[in-house]
Amino acid sequence: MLNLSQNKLNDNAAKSIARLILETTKLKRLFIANNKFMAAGGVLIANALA
Amino acid sequence: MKRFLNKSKKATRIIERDNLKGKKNGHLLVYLDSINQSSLAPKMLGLLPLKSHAINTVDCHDSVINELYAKPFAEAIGSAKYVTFLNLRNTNLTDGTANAIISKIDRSVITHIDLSENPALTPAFYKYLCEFITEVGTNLQ
Repeated sequence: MLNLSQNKLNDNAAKSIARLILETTKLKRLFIANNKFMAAGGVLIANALA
Repeated sequence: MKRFLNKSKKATRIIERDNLKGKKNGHLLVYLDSINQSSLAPKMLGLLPLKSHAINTVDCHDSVINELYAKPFAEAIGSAKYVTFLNLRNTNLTDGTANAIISKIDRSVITHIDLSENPALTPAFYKYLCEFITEVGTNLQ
């Protein structure tokens, strides 16, 4: 479990989060609520999850 | 200094360093020694003395871990080999203090990390954190 909520994560951080989602094999729960993602960051994360 | 008084508001007990013998409390001894060398007032930061079992949760949410305390705390985390849950919520972390702590975590043991409500962390730290987590052997679930 990794909780990064309420941290002002922006689209630059979203790149790292997306890479994490793609590369991690064991992480099952990731909390990223209440951050500062814009549309581009949201797309990156959504594509990684798809 | 043989006695360390926990100066947080609600704490009333005195922890005697000499009573913290054994491997189960090695992390606390490491922390207290480092604090003592730096001439700082000890803050317990979730590093509880244990009698019967090894520590597996360090919960220091809503405490302040500044640059002075980050190194002693990181050394304690590094020596606590059974920590599976590290709660750092709302601890005023910066990139430097968070890096110091995360770098000492045993990635093969830790399963939960809570870094929420630390708005001073920057994308540079998240890049480092994500690289740490994607390393082979990481057990974060």
